Amino acid sequence: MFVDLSNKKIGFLGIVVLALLVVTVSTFLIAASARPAMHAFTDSAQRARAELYYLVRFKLPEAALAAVTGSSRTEAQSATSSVVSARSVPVLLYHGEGDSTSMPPMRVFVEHMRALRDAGWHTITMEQFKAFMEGTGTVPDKSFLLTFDDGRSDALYSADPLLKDFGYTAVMFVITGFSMPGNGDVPLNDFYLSKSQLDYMVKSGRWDLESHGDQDHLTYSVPIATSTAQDLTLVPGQHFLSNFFWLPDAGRIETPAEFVTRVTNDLTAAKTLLENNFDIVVDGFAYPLNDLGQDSINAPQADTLLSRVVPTIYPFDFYQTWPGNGDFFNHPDPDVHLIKRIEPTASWSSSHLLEVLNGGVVKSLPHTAFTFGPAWKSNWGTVRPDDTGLELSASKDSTGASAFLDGSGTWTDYKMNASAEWKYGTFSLLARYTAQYAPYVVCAFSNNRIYLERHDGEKLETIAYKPYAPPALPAKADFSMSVQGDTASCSAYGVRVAGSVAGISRSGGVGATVWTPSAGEAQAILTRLAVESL
Amino acid sequence: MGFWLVFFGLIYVVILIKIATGNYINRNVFFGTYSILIVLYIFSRFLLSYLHRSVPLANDYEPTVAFVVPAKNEGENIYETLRRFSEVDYPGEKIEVIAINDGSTDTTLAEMRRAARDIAPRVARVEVVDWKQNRGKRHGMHEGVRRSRSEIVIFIDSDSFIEPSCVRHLVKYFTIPEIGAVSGHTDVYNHDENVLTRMQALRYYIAFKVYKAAESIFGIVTCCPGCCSAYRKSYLDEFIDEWLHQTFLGKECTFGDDRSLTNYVLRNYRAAYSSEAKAYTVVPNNFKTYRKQQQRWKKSWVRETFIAASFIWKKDTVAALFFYSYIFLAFAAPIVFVHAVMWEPIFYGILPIIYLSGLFLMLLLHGVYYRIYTQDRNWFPAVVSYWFYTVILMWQLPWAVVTIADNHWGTR
Repeated sequence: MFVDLSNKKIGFLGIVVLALLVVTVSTFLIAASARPAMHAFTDSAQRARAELYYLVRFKLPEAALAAVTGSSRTEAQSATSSVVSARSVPVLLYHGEGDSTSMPPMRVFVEHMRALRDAGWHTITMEQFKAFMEGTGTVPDKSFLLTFDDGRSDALYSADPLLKDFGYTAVMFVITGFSMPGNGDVPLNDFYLSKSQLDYMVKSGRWDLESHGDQDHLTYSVPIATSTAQDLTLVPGQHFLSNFFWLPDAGRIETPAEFVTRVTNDLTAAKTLLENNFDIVVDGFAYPLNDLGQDSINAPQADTLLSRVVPTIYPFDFYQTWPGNGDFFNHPDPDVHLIKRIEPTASWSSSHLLEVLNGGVVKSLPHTAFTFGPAWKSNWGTVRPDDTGLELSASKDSTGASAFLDGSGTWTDYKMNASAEWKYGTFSLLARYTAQYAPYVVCAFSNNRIYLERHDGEKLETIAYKPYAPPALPAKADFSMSVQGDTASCSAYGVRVAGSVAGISRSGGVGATVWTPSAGEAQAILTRLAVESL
Repeated sequence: MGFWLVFFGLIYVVILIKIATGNYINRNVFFGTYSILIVLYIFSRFLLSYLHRSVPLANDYEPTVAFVVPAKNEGENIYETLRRFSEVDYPGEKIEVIAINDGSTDTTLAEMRRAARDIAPRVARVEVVDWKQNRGKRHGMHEGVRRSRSEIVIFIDSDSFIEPSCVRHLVKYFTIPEIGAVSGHTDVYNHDENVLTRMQALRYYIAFKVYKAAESIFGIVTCCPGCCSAYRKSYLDEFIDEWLHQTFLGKECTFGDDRSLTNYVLRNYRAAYSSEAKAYTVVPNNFKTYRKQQQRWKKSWVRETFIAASFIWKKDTVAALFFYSYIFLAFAAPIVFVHAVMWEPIFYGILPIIYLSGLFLMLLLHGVYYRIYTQDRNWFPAVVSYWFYTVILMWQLPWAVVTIADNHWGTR
């Protein structure tokens, strides 16, 4: 209505808009060419911000609290740092800033680390870890290796001020293809650490850089096993390390030898990039997406191939397990290259984390238990360890319950004597347990027979069985089981069943299970367990 | 020239920041939209105000005008307010002055009568209405309209003073039949008093020169304020009685009279802004009064915006788009504020540096514009306090929504 679109006004606006456009575009062109410098600037700003945030949000409140309560942490710390050497070491895995549902946000991470520090835990470097695993060096009791995956810049920002404050060190598994694509100075995007940031980390002395592969954190389209040039079916979203690729030029699937070459090239490239750029030795490799070859759609032998290739490039390869899936601590053994890690999630309280770690500490024989603590980890059904016993009961929709004693995985030849309040179902003792999907030995006591079995994932093989006459249920009952070399035996109420368990790991821990064919019924309370060496 | 470079330099910096943080919109549609829209909206104000076309003076068009001044306890200023009516550049025989003493307990009535005696020889008619009981500003305005015999009614606040040229610049817009109301340009009289009044001087200047001008392009000025605005009497007569008893949520409206009167005009006619029609008003010089005044204005803004939203889309699509965008921005602002200043620092450790500096940049843009046109050397403290008051009074809008049904004045 009152608009003036005269040539003078429009002309002036046109000049202004044009000038702004030119200046803005040229700014971005200049900025693009100066991106490394800009990156260095924003990085230092971000680091300063992270330092300030850590100071204000965590350090000062802690100091204020200490001043008010008059407690001094340094004394507590020196009191707990012991001269006892660790017999096994856990490895913790974090990624970076998470949310409250999965990966821990910084607040939870700081809580976790504080709880560990206050309980006397402390980090070791990759070099110390290596010497410990190879048996050429010792580390103090309550040592752990702190690791981060994916080379994320937010991990640096949220963890580095804490490392500095605590005197901790950490390992960063870097995806070289994302952090320095084509050996460049600029990362794929600012989510990933750049070369200059990685360099800063190495020089800080707080970080060890290890490998998370070069291109193998990406997903690819791979052919199904029966694919031919005429009948090609590609499945998208598959993993680099566990599948044979399609070779379009040759019109066929990769051979195992070509697979090995591709994997070797990638793993070597990542290692070489890190070693040459930062003048370091890279000994560790973390399996991207925790795929050790098991997630294959066309190469069932991928896991075997990988287990042969990876150790030729990296002395240590890290994979992820979880508490309850056998011992998750790592025991020194020059022959072991596969390293276990667990990932604390956002829902883990710091006391839960402490329970998990304390439960996992290696236990010695003889081991006698009348009370049962959090070292008993459930992997099925409802498991309630307490001062009077270990209650195993089928939950509403499970046919049984099972528990494993954390820290018993190094035991080799032993005899177990167990007492139980046997309510309902088949009661079993487990021996030589290493992981849920690895073979182990089971003595199963039903209402009329004793079975010696070998369990391997879903497979169950009965080695031997005999009838026997247990008391009518419910009853207090006693069972025993022993494993020695390649033989195992089960006995109860005067009947003994024995047989060969060749092919099962020579060391492994103990556990107990209760089971019925229908859900929600099985129940027993383990009231005493005594394990002695044979 | 130097400040113009600073002005466009600021626009350039804001554009740079928006592009550099552009991926934010992908992370959160709500906050991303706000971040883009607020900048586009503010830029659009400057652009549209630049394109605003003024109407030329029409010397052969001289309708009769009535100054209507409702006042309560304005003994200090009312004489000067009325006296200035006799000095306006307009034929005295076409000027009518109606002053309503709305139950004052001070010397207001005496001052009114003194002024009436002094100006009577130079105007056609002066009338002083004396109410012993206070009835409210709306009743005063209504009474003025009712008693007026002129074609144009000019409302002047009892603490506002007009320039002699003001009348002609208001009146010239009424040559266009569609125009029902014209807002003058009001600056702050006591701007030198302290930093609070200085800040208000900046706000007033921008609110008129940029924001009302931008609305005026479409003939949809949403508030022709009581300090100095002209209305066509024949249009007012159509709804003035209905307006007097306007209710909202079942209660009679007791404030925001100017905004609501403009709203009545806008239903069937249009409203313009005349930047040459200059007036001055006295603004609160202490925080408490200022806060209460702002709270009252926010409430009437909520009420009248709610009403205007129901018909503005029929008048002009482009103007309506801007209008609805502004509603979104106004209501989103406190949410964005809480998100940036509380939520993100507490839960994510992200300090509100970008937010607060972005806000400051935008206000600085206004401040530089103000500096260019007013030559006010104290513009920078005004910008800083503008920024400060924006932050600390952020809660007023949500509070206005919550207390919308409570129609006490809270001042005086």
